[in-house]
Amino acid sequence: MNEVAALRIEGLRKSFDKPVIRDLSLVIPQGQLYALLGPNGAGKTTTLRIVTGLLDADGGQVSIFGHDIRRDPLGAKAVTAWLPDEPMIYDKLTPAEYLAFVAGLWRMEPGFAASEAQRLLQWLDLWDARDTRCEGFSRGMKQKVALAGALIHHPRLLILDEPLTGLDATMARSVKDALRAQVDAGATVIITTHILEVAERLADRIGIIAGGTLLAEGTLEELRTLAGPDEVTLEDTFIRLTAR
Amino acid sequence: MILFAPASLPGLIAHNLRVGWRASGKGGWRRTAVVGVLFGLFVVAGVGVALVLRRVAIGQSPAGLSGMALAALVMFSFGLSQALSRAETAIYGCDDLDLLFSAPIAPRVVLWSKLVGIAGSVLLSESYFVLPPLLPIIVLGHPALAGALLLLLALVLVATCAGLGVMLVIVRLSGPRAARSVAQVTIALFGAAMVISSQVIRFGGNSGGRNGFAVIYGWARAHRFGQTGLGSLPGRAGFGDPLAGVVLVAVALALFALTGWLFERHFTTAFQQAGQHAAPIMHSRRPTRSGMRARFSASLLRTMLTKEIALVLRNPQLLATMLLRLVYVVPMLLVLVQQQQALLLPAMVFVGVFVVTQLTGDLAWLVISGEDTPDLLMVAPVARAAVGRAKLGVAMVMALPVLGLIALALGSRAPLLGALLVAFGLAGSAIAAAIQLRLERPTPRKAFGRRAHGASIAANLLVMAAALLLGGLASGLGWWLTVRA
Repeated sequence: MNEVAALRIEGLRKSFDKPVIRDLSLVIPQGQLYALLGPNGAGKTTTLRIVTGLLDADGGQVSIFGHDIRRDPLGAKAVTAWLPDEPMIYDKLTPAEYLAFVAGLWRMEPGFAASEAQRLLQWLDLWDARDTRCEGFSRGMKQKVALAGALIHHPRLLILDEPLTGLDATMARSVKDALRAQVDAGATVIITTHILEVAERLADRIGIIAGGTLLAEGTLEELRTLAGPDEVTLEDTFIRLTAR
Repeated sequence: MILFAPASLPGLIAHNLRVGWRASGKGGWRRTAVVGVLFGLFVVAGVGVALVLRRVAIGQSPAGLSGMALAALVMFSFGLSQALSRAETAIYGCDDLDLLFSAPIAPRVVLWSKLVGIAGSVLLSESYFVLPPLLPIIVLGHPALAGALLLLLALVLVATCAGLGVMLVIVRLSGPRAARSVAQVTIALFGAAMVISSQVIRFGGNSGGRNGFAVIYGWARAHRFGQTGLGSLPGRAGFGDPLAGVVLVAVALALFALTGWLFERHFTTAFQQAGQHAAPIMHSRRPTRSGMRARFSASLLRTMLTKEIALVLRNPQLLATMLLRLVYVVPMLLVLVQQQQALLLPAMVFVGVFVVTQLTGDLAWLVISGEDTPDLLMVAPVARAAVGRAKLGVAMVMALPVLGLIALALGSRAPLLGALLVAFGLAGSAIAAAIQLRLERPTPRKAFGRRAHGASIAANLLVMAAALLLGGLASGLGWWLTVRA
């Protein structure tokens, strides 16, 4: 397959007080929803923060759609969106103002950006609140504003760290639908989650990371096979693989 | 090490002090070093003053009583501002009240621990300014002035009661939603009360060109302010009258106890309302559907400018701080419109450059250091240097109206000096922004209510040095070009 990978990580290393990422290699093809699972402290968030340019790696290579994040960081960032568990929004700005700010950072053509903002605000049920400051919003609404900010510049790679944390069932469903819609439209989505059911239902492929290395990767069926013949749920598979 | 029982009043006070101490220690070794050096210099200066005053008779004269009473008023004004700020933080800014009120502890104990915590931090703030000169003066020849320590304690206790009282009145009058904003503006006004009133007196009446504080002191002496009756208690206490000192402290302690007893329910109610209304629904005044297109721009500078202006205008505390800085500009503009003071015009160039440089430094600190989502800027496809340049530009653009106003006023009297002010003002502006850009690191705006949490003191000192240097150069050049010629 000659198609360039959405994300390619080779030999990634990162230490703080102790090694957090150890020689991690990972390839995520385009057009997939990829779930990165792992116990607390496994290195998931650190990996993603390196990918998005928020942290410098100690070693290894990362490229996004062929853009090396060290040699061409702006090219890599231009096609990427990052949505952490704490929404990156300004409480004192309104959703419309926030989207205008994000669109300006990504240098979008103003007319197109405005129409995209309107579309996203309507799609995410934020249109009526577009001129209301975010400080009064629930966590779910803030997460939707941040999601709109992540989507407005049409990223080819959307990376989300625990996107469903603290959301109620309805809000979680709309975020999941939004992510699936992105993949259906051709984007690549990477999520980390502690909710295995989400990965089980939503992900095309799943990677299990622990101790800073990739333990296993594949479709749900492939992982079940890897864990043993008697396992039936992803939870069982996850516990068995991470306990090894 | 546990010194007190965990849920007891001493235990909670110790806990508050420990948390407050650790919060104040944020900023790393550089901040600690700069603060240490400054404090050391202050102590040395205090010893110097004490040596000079060693053989000067300082006693309970009528003028001395008025001076001591005025000093007490200044300290009370400062303490009130501090206490109000701490009370506002206690109700709206601390994350531990949920825990404390949900724990099996009497609400009165919680309130008392907060009240003592407020008093302790105000006492610490005031001691920082008062003790370095006062203690050497007491030791080196004026032991009677030890009474000023009792006076300080009494003032702090009364200011704490007043601060909490004013805060609760604000909550009652303006409602929980607006209380925090109103309180923040009030804090700034109390803090600047003496400066504002001195300036009003200086330019509002027949001051004879004297300094505003000198006018107030003259008025106090003429009207025997603090010299007779109960009004003389602060002065007498300050000069070492033990009875006056004991009476003041006893009254202050009684007031403190009364406040704790009286405000228990109101404090709890204010906190509960704060929890209910911490996130008010605020609507933008901008048009809705038709305004969408106008908000979007491909220019990084315009994008940043729009965001920063919106954030400043929506933060009453920051806005109040900025507006108060402009208070210092007003006297200068009044001087400029007085035709007979032509010789002072080059000095106005100094003040103008100084104010604009400082203002840009403040704004640059705000846009660079006060960044709620630094990660968003990091993941955006914009070079860090470009973001830095845009923020630098934003700070300068926001300070331009002030520079323009002063330059216009000065230029109408002396066009050459007006041009000089614009040139040096822009240079000072750029340097101040560049210093902040170089030294500051992003911190969420909501994380620092006070500047010490987000700004490095080194940056502020450098900006001030640049303002003084450029102001001096501009003023000297202006004098050489106009007055000397």
